[in-house]
Amino acid sequence: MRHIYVKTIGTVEAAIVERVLESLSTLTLNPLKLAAHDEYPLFAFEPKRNQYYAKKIIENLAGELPADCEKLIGLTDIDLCTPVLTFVYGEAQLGGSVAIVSFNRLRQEFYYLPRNDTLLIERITKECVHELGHCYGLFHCNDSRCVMCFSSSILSIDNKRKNFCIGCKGFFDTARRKENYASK
Amino acid sequence: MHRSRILVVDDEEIMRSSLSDWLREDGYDVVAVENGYKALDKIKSEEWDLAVVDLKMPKMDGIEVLKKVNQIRPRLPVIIITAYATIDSAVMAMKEGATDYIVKPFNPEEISRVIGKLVEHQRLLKENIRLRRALAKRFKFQDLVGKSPKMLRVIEMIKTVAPTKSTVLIRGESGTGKELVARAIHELGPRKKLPFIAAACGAMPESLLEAELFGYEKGAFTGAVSQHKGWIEMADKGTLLLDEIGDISLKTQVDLLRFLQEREFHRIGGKAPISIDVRIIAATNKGLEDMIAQGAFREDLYYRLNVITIEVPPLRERKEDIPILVEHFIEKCSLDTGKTIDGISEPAMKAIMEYNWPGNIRQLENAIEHAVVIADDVEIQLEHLPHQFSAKVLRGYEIKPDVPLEVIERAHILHVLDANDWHIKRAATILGINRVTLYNKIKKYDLRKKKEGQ
Repeated sequence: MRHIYVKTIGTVEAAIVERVLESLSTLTLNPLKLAAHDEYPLFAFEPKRNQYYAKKIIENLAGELPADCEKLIGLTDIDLCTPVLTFVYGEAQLGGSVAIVSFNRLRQEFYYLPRNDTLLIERITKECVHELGHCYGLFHCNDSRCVMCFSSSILSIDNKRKNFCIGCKGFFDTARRKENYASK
Repeated sequence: MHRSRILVVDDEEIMRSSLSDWLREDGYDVVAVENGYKALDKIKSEEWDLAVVDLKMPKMDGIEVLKKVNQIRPRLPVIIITAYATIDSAVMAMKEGATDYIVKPFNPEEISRVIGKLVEHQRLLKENIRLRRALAKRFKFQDLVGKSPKMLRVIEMIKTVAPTKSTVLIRGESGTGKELVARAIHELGPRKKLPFIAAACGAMPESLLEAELFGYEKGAFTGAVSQHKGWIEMADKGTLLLDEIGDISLKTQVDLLRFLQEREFHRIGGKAPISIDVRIIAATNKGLEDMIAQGAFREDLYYRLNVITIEVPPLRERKEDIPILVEHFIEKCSLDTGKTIDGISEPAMKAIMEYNWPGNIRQLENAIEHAVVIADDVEIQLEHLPHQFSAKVLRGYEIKPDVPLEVIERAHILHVLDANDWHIKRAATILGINRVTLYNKIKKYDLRKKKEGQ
């Protein structure tokens, strides 16, 4: 079975990444593997907005995928955006191989609240599963408790679970089986 | 499930792809074009639920696109987006009919809410249009299908009497569509937005009919646990159809006559008279004149009701209407059952045309409904039609040119009753007539169940 690679980008706390991997490994995904660390993606920096374009980072990551990689997910602390959205918690290639999740706005400190690592790990896990869902071709879900529900605010992330609803789970399992079969 | 379609119009490639990607993740079917001309082509040729149009574009700007969209597809919501927001452009966009005006880059929460709301609104709008169409098909004046001279006369008569307040007596055999004629008179008249109450007078015993017609006060009789408004009261300001008027008892005829003369009545057990403004339409399949001669129907009530008479012809006298009636019922039943039936085969239509339809249009409608439900094809075949009117069964009655219709009707009813062990409801369903009519026919032809050993 091919791996889901996790790649850290920029300055990321190792302890947090370790706990995220632990949390992700409890979900029924392909085996996880840590890829080599990447420096700050300055090519994606937009000085006018003081943010990084998520899509540019994704395109860069997609160019260097390991052979045994089914999906690659980048974890970073930088603030991500897209040309049309003021910010994104994460971004993925719909039906593609690469996704990225930013811790930046998932931290309690961003909202001037005391640090809470447990909550941060839970939010990162949810966003990772959400973006991986897009990589397997899943759309946003109308069920506000499903991990595939679109989160426009931190409250909506906290409201949803880290699992798929029955409908999304069925779609996800089918898509995964297809990919695993195709790679054999 | 149908995915909502969104058209994105922006001259900047990066904006187009970024917005399209995000909308696709949200489950929309997205097409992005780079200028207003291509956008208008797409809007003209395809169905869309929403257009997101950039304000600043070379040659044709967003406002120009918006104006054109309003001419081509006035119901299509358009969101104007811009990276250079000004109050003037926002006012201009809203004046020209933009549904919203949003500044790029968007706040994810705002754009998600705006698009979600508009798409849902479009879905409801489309559903509303679909349901209205379905409802309009359920009952409309055109339900009185027919091109035959006799039917055209009926339609002409309906149009003439509808605007008046005159009492109408509709006469015709069972299943000819007398209630439909009454509804058409109501729908075309000034009372169309007020109640239309159809009182089935023939189907119940005298005391129950009086209670239903006039209503009763609490405690008027055993079981009258609360005050009850009758059909007459419920039809106030509207139309009251007294269906099967020939079947009511002499006692009820007297009460009804009093009401028709004074336009006032008392609820059973009530003291205060109630004044009612209601248009009366009566319908019957009985020969009222014969009943008067026999003393079974009051002459004065007859003259009260018989102000204007409309005779609805039986189906056998307007056979030229059968093909369009068949087409009409196929369409109606297909809509109800969700099936796509395109038409009817030639042998099936021939059999329908040759049949005499004693149960008239109701029987025809039941037969078509039966066929639509059974049909496993896009076309109704002979074998899909109910067995009781197929040629094979009719041959059993030795149809000859000199046999009166009543002989065949009597034999057929008896045959169906015997075959169903005199189960009235089942036999009535097969015959395509209602139970009351079947009882009337049994009485008319003096039909009796065979005793054991006969």
